[in-house]
Amino acid sequence: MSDVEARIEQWRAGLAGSESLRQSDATELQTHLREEMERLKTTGLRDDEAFLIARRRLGDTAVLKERLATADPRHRVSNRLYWMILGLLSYYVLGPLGRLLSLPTAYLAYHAGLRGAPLAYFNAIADTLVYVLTVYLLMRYVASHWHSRIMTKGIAGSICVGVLAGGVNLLSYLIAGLVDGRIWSWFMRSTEHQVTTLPEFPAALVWCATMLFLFAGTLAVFSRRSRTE
Amino acid sequence: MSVTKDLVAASATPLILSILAEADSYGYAIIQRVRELSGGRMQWTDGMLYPVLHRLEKQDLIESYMSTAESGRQRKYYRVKKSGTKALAEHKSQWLLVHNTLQQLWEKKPCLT
Repeated sequence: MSDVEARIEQWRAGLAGSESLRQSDATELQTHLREEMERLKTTGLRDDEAFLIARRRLGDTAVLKERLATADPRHRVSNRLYWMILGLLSYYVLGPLGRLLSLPTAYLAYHAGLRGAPLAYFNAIADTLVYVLTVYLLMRYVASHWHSRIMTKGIAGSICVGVLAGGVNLLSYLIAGLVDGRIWSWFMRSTEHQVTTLPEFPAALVWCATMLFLFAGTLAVFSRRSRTE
Repeated sequence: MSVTKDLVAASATPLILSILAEADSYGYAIIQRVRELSGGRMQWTDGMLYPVLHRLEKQDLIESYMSTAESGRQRKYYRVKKSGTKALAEHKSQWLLVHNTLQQLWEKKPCLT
């Protein structure tokens, strides 16, 4: 790819990084840019000069995005809704997936001799870490394969939810410890129970498979949406 | 002499509707046409045409369709709808009213008393 091509792509990526702009709008503007560049080149300008002038004539990208957003505010709202739903859904899918992956670590920790409170804390932290790592890897994949800001945003949202849930988990242990020893010890016992018997494992597997199916469906709809629009 | 920003903004809708009433067109060609008709004195910031086009589309005055140009490039064409033709007639009478009013004032002979 030539330098100018790369710059056109970069310019387009800057446009596409907006929830108010549809793919077709970005394509429309890009076609405009190219046609203006072609006209300018017939007057003897070089590729990069033509690009600079054509880009300038199109106007400031930020202003343009804002104007386009106010021309169709409904689109912005629907896009927000889409990535929120996606975020929530991915939390439900990836939550059990993270649990699936973190349970064995707690199991190993138990057999390494960890008991009671340290085990519960270890389990809660491992849960959150595994979840965040899974989602982060997925986000990297989505960002590089779909170039869709909506999806990346949705998944980033689910990381926040995951971290929040992990924090609440840990906090509830701490509060239980301060308020009532019985609740606290129940927490600890239940963690030990989970870890030693792995009762959640099959259930999580089924749940995960169902959600993964739903998630794949949503992704398919999304990728079509961002391609056709 | 170039036209002020406010006037450019106010005339955008009737201009676009009038150009599309002649024939279906796409963003770049619309701008070229305005440039040509005004002798280059109505200088639009190119990008600003698109929000107007999208607004008109949302107001159901025009509609768009994709078409492949001879160069193989995908272009988004716009076509004026019936409601757009009506809106254009309304714009036309308003502009003519303003034009006539100003014309009468400016053509008034100087008073010699």
